[in-house]
Amino acid sequence: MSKTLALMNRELRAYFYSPVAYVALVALYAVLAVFLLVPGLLSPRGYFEAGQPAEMRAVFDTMAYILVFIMPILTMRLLSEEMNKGTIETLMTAPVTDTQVVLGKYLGAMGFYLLLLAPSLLYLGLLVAYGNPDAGMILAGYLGLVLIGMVYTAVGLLTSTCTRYDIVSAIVALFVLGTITLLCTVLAWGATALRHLAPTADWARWLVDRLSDWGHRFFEYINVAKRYQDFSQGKIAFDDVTYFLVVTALVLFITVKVLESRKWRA
Amino acid sequence: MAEEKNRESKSENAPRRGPRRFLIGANVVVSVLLVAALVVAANFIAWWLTSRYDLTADATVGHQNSFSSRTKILLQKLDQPVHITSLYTAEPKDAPAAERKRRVEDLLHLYRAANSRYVEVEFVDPTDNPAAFHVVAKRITDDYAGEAKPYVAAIGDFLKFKTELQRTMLAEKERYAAIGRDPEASADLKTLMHGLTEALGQLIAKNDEVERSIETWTSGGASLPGATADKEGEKKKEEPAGLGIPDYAKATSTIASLADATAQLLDQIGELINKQLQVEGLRMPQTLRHDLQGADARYKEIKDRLLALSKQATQLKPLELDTVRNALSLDAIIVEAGGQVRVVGYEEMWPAPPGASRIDPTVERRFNGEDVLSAALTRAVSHNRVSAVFVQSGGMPVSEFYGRYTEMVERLKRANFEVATWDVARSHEPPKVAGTSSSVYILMAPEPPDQQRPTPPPTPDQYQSVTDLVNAGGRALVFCRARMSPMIPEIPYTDLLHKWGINARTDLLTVTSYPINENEKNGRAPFLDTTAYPSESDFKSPHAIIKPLEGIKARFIGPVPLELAQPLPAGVEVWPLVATPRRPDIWADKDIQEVMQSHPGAFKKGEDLPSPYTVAVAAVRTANVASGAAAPAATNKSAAKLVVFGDDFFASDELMRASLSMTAKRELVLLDNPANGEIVVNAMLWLSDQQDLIAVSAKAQEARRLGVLPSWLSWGLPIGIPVVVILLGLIVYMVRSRAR
Repeated sequence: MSKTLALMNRELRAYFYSPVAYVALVALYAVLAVFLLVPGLLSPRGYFEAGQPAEMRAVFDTMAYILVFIMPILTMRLLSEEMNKGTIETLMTAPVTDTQVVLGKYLGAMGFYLLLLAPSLLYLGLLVAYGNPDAGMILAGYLGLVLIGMVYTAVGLLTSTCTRYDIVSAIVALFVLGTITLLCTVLAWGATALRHLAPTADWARWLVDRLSDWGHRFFEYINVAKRYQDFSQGKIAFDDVTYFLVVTALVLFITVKVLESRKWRA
Repeated sequence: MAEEKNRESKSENAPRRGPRRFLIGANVVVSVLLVAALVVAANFIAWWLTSRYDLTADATVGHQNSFSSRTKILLQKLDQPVHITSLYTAEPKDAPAAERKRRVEDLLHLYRAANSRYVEVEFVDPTDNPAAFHVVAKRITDDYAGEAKPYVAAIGDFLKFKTELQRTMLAEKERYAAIGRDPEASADLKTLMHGLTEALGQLIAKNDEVERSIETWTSGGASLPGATADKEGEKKKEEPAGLGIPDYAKATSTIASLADATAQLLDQIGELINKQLQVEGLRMPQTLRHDLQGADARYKEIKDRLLALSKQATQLKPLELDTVRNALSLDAIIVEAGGQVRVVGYEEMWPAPPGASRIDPTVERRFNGEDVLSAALTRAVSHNRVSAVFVQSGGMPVSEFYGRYTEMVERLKRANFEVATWDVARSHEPPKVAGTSSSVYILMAPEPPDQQRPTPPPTPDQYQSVTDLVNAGGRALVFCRARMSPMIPEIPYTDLLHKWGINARTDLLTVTSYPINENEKNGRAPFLDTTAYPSESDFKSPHAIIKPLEGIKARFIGPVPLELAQPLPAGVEVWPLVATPRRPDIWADKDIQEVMQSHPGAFKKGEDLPSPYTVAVAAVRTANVASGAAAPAATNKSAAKLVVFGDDFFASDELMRASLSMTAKRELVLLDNPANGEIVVNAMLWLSDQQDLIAVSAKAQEARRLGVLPSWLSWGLPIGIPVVVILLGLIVYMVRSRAR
């Protein structure tokens, strides 16, 4: 455990020395500022204006989508940089297991992710000072952001383990995260639209209806952003929490296996 | 030598590396697949457990994702089956419609989950599945079969009589046609006969047409609901009004019109023939005269039956089924319980914001589902109804659609009250409201006299009847008002309040001071905003009426202080509901005229009344006060109850409905006082011994909004965060550069 924590500290410190982390932070809050300030994007007027709902639901929902683009940047160099510089060999020969390496890197990235969320507490401060926000709803929103961050970080770490090139890792992570968020939304819609094929034969209509129904349910089920919406509304469902935790565990397990494969593939 | 050995050993291992890698790789793939299968299984189990046992926590403080306590209580108390049908439909491309449909379906699932024993929900898309909608329509028609019996009988009578009528009409037509063809008939007679034949022919055709129409109306119509393309090529929903549900009223009104028209025609025929007989006299051949005479007598019986039929059709009671059918449309919800049907329309479920166009598709509508659905459910299942009687003296009824209290009336109706008006200037007897078991009297403060239609100011005598009723164990909600001008009459029920130990100080007006410039704070305006009830912890524990309202904003306009006698009359117990907070910027001002004319002013010691003081109270008095035997209790059903508010404006439409207002920055701000309506409804529920239904509605739960904040903060914070991060990054960079 101490080795994992040591690796985590090393990783977390590295973030503060890296310009990429600052760029990610600025990018997240600058894009968010655009959404908050431009009328018509999140609210008909500015988001923090008198008379507007004292809640952060729209902020959280927007962050969940912006993070799809930010997290690959934050995680791209986790292991690919080690491989590129050749320091992975030193790390592998050190008295740490692959699991400890993966967990250390993961926890380091998660630590920075939590710091990434910290400035948004200023929005909460504003709501508390000038409104009467629903604390439970906001806490659920933050819990959802932590869970969604766990999945995003795990995916970023996995793609970083697969290649020695930062950019390739970021692009692949972006593709995967885009698939489980934005693409799933499109596919769920596409599955519903299948019904409009309206074949004449009874059996074909039955088949299309089933495909449409199951397809829609499936893509809604695996859609990370869709699941996150419940949290931002203040709903904490057991299946949502389980989904985020087990998917994170699966991705981290695959990451360990990929890292291990360096030994027996060589 | 060693190198040689190494080379040998490598060459020996080389052929074995491939299978070994394959085996390890296969092992890894299998283990990953196994873990993936475990993940799928865990997700499935979690999904099953969540849907089976509703393992969802509502983290919101206001329980926005779960039912309000009012709905929970309603569903717990259900003792009969309820069938809720959604008629929501959505084109796959229409994302907002799909989202609306999803939210409605989620809500209905919640209703079913809350009481799966009695609540059954059904989702019918009338566009995709008209057959399923026909089944619903048939069920509704069957629910009202008893009510429609007189209509069915009237229609049956007409259809039976119609055959006989047609036969007579045809015979008469033949008779007149034969006379018209007779060579002995004069030219005038031929013309008349031709005209009569034509008229009768048209009547016969009309009869057939009406029969066909009746068949269509009584079978519920023939057109199918669906989508038709409008000019812009967008899908436009076609209302399925009346689909599958008989329109008996239309059928009977058509029968009445037809019967009247036929009787009238027969009358006219008789008159015309008689005139012709008089004109031609003995010149007319005997055979023709014989054929024409006696038309009146022949038609008499038919006319009598026609008039009886018309009377039967016009005197029928209005049908509840018609109300249901007319309310039916796509995107409606049908609530069926105990033979009663309520329809919740789209506009109720998704109200447009104040001032917004209802036909503008870009308008962001609010989901009002739980409030309206629970109200419909309450009305459908409730056995015990109470009348809310607005008591006033002269003038136009304040509770009518043109009055100031339409929102209050609407909310009371939703809470299952029957609303009526009692004008004490006209009658000393309270109105009898059908279907109600008891009454709560709402005493409205007298309105300023109308300059165009002056009426004498109300007198305490006029209110004697209602005062007696309340003192004898009745229930009343009393509104007071400061005498903001000499024109405003004094409230005529002060005696009633005095008997309860309550003194409404109508000579004082609550004001809140505000800064009129940067340094000075001596402006004052007649309002009181509060989110705490009764406001100060040194009062008794919160009363049931205001207990669920903590944190929800109410606004009162210049409420008058309510002073309590010390000691209170025997048997009377009083609870403060709303009080002013212990703050120096809120007081009751004596200079009402100056306040109303917006003159600046500050608190005057010895003249004005400082905070805190009470502006709304609830009181109970046992019926057997004289004996002094029983202690008063809020739950005692034989006790008289009173709720008094020092302001009536807070219950008006202006403050109960959310409205848009222009700020100093020329921006529109939504003004919302959600607690105003809740207090009134809760007070009425308490007064009518339905305190177990006292709660906060879902609508009020959502009303958490930002107050006025410095404008720089609203844009400064979003921009400030990235700027601070950039500066932080630069500092780190510079520190590290120096260190290197």
